[in-house]
Amino acid sequence: MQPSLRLLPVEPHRLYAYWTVAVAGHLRLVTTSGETLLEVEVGAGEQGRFFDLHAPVNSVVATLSSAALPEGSITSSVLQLPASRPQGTMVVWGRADGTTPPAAPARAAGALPYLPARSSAGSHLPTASTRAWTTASATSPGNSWRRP
Amino acid sequence: MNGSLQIVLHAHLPFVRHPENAYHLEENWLFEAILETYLPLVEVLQGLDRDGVPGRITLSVSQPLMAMLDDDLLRDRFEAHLGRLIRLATQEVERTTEDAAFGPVARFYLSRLIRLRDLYLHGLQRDLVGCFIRLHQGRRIELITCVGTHGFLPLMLRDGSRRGQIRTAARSFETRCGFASAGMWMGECAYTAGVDTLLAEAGVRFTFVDSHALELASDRPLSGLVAPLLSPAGVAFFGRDPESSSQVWSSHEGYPGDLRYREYYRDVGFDRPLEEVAPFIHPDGIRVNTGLKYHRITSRTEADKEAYDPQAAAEAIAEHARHFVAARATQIAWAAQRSAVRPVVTTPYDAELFGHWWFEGPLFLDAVLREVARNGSFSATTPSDYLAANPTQQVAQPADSSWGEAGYFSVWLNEGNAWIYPALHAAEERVAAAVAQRDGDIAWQPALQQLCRELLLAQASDWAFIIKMQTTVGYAVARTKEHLSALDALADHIEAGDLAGATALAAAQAARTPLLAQLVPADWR
Repeated sequence: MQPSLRLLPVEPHRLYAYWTVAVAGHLRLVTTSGETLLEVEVGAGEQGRFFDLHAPVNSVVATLSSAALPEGSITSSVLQLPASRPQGTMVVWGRADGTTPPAAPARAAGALPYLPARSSAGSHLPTASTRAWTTASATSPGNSWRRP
Repeated sequence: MNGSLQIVLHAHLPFVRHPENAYHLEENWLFEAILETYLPLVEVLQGLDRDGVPGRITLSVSQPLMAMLDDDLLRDRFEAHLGRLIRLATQEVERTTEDAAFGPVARFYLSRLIRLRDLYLHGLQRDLVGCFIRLHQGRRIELITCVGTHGFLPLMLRDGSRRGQIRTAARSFETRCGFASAGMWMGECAYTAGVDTLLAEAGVRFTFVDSHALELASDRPLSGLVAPLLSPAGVAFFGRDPESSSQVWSSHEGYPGDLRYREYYRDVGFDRPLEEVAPFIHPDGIRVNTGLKYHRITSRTEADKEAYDPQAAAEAIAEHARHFVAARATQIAWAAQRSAVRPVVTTPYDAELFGHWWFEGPLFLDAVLREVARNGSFSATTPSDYLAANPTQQVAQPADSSWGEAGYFSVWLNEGNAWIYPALHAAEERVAAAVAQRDGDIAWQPALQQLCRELLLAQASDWAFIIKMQTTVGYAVARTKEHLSALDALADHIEAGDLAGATALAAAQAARTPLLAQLVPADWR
């Protein structure tokens, strides 16, 4: 099987790279426009590493170079990182049932502003200062299964 | 009406079934969820029907959970579990006869257990899924499902794997329920662009995402979070409302932390001498939660807890339901003046929060729906009803995201569990290659189906989550490796052209994984 190098998104500024061949080499992360984001040496016993990017980028490609690789290097596919800020401001309307041509609803005919995600209406709890989620006791190992 | 509220409960557990052991600790997850969440929820929904209270909720039930609820071995074991608990509760009533503080609590539990046993055995004939279907048909709930095994779609390597998760769930749901699932919960609300196309191809019309998936969408959402976005593929994405979510979810200031509510972390299984509880815990003497919890939260810091008082808890429920509904009424009225479309506030939760973690949660839901009806300024609706009434919505591509801590993928991909992904990706490639090689021959279908099933089971997001949360790590690691090993063994036979060997092995593997019968290997191409 051909050795491969893969990138996985973790957060807008964080990714995980892994490679399927155990070689010492040089790993370089670049943007799709060719700007180098970082370069590191990797050891032969290492096959994955997390990277924090210090500038917002949309897409990243990695290359692992090593004399031990048959082709001298392997390159990953392009990774799209999650967006870290709002993007466009176009408003396009569509139909959920797909049956009629898109049209703006009547209420949107006026120049409405963008609605903040949080209304600040009724978000305060009545007696927040007295609240407490349950506290683990010393006798319980908390061996249950999901959240909180 | 100014708009609507949609309460969405997502019910899921990983597939856990161990016929090889007479007692298996992790099967208790299912038993606790049935007893503490699903049956109390059914009681609430049937009570609302009985009283003619309007309002609907959405219930997402994953396919692994449906399979376990339908499984006769697990039903038998749950019945036995319930019988043991009733014997323990009876013993506890005798022990606390003279105890003015805890005697009433012990009697409360015994009465409750007997009532829930009657509901399960006689009211439902042990068929919880059938009950959910009837509640859907009666329009009390909108029943939907979740991607195959609760896989974390953004971290999969291939679209074929994502397609397999989505289509297998859609087919299995329709076969079991007799109608298509209009919506589909994505495991951990985890989304990456392109999944919308796969959902649309499977006939899915809506799903749910965390708030920032809409806030950071390809175009800003004109109506904020009080309307869905339609993705370019035409799937409606409802965003989680942060205000109502934090009121119920928040570990610091949410309703469940009220000092009158039941304390989760004190349990007879740990509190009483071993000789008293030995017949009711793990046969090896490992203490487990029994669900008999006698204390109220009492204090955030004090170890001494006071006795639980159901009447005081009921007063807290009433207060909190009134507050929750008043807050939603204010929020929806505010949004109705400003939104381009009729506002809908979407508030999704893990179903098991209600009853298992927050003991009073089902009664809170009951009180909320009754209070919504009394309030009258907005309705309790479901996505299908909302979209039927409001089909025209803004089109934009939601942002990649999940509802986990920090909002992206770090709960499911971090230093502790990253080792899973190279192994899962290699398995994805092996499955795709095997399907491409053998799918044309009907004789290979049973082996290919089981190959896909083992991949699905290994991909459950639960395993990475458990490793991250450091709970039952050994079990999660073992299950991941078990399914990947099974997949590799089967792939060896398939790749070698050993049809008899592959078919025999697949039959043996399928016997221990009775779920997701509606597998079509071509989905994985």
